[in-house]
Amino acid sequence: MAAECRQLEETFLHAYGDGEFSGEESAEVQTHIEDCDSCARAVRIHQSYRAAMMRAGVTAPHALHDAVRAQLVAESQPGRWMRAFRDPRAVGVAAAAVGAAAWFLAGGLRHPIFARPQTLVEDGVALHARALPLDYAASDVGSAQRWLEGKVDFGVQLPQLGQVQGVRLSNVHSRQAAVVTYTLPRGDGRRVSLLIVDDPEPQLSGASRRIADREVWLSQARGFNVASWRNHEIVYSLISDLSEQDVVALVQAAEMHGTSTGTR
Amino acid sequence: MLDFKHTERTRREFESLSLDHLDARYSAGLRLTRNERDSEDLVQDTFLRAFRFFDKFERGTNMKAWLFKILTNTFINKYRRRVKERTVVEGASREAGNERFVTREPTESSADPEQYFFEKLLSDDVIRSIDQLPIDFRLVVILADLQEFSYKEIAEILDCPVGTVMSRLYRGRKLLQKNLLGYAVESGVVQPKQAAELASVADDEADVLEFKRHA
Repeated sequence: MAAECRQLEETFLHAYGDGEFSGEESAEVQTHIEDCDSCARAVRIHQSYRAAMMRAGVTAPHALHDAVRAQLVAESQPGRWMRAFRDPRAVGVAAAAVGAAAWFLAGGLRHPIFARPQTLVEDGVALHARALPLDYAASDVGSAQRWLEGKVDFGVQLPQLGQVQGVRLSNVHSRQAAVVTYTLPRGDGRRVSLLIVDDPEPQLSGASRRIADREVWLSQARGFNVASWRNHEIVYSLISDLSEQDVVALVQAAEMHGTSTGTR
Repeated sequence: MLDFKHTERTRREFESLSLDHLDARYSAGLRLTRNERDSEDLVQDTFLRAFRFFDKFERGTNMKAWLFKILTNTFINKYRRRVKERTVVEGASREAGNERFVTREPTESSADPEQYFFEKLLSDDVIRSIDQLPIDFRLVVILADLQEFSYKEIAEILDCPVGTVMSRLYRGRKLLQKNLLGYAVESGVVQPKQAAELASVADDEADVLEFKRHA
C-alpha cells in the first residue's frame, strides 16, 4: 500500500468501514476505492475482520439475570429495611416478609413466566463442554489443591482421578465454583471435569446410588454422564463422556483416595 | 426518612431501560476481565451503581453508552488490579490451551485468502486474540467492534478526544489482526507462505511501542 494510502487507511478507510461517514463523505471514499486496488482490498479485509468480531459475543448466564434483578429489588427498599431494624416490633414483620419473599422466589423460579434456571448438572456440563482456558496449570492434585486455597472460600478435598491438568475458577448460580480438569491414563487421555460448588441446591438431581459408602447421584445431560456427591456441604460433580459403568468405577476409586489421604 | 429516588416505579423504569443490555455488558465484561467470575461481579456492580445514580441519567439519552461508562470506570477502579494479579498464570495456561486447536483440519487455500481469512477463524481464536491485547487497546476494540459504539460515543465513554479513539483503535486492530493471523497459520486456514505477505498489513509494532511510551 502506498504511503499516502496507508495514512488514508487509518484516518478514512476504517472510519468509512465503521459507518462513521455521512453520505457525501462516503461517496468520496467510494470514488477513491474504485481507482485504488490496495485501498479496496483494505476495505474488504476490514469488513471480513468486523464480521469475525461480531461472532465473538456471548450471552450472560440465567443466574446472573436473576441475581441482578434480586439485587435491584433489595436496593430499592433501603428505607424500609432501616426502619424495620430500628423498631423491635417490626423485626418480626420483616422476618416474615423475608420468609415470604424467599418462599415466593423459590416458587417463582419454578413458574414458567421466569426463564428456566439451569440445574447444577446442566451448568457443569456446559462448563465441561466449553473447555475454557485454565486459570492455573497444575501437575498434580496437591499443587492444584494448594492453589485453590484462598481462591475459594470453602475447603476442597481433591480426589485422585488421573492426571490433573489444572483449575479454572467459575460461578454457578452466583456461587463460587472451581472446575478441576483431569485426563485419564486409559481411554487415550480422555478429559474429565470435576465441578466443585459450595452447596448450591438442597437436593441433588439424578438417581441415587451408594458407592464406596457415599450417596452418589447419577444423571445425564447433553450426552455427558454426571456423578455428584456431597462432602462436608461441598458438592462435587464429575462430568465426562464415559459410560455410566466407568463413571461408577472412577468415583469408587476416587472416593478411596479423597477420604483416606486428602492431599496427596 | 422517605426515599423518593428508589421507589418501585423508579426500579421498574430502570429495569425496562437497562436489563436488555445485560448480555452485552456481560460479553464486554468477560473480554475486559477475561474471567467469568470477575465479569459477573463487574456486571452486578455496574447495574447496582447505575441504579444508585439513576437520577443522574438524562432521560432520552443513550442508556447503553451510559451503562458502559459506568462499567468501564468500575472496571478500571476496582478490577484492573485484581485481574493483573492473574495474568501471570493465564499466560502459561493460554499456551496450553492453544495446543488443542493445532489438530484442526487444514482447509484448502482460497483464491482470495486476504479477504476471507478472518471469517474462517473459530470464535474461540477471535476471543483469545482479543484477550491478548493490552488493556487500552482491548477497551477501544471491545467498544467499537463488539459493542458497535460510534467513535464519538467511545470518546465520551473514555473521556478522550475522537482522534485518540481512532489511533488506539487502528493500532489495537492491527495488533489483534496479527494475533489472528498467527492462529490462522497454526490452524491451516492460511498457508505460512501467504502469511508472510499478509503480515506486512498487520505490521505496526514500532507505532505501538511508541504509543506505549506516550500513554
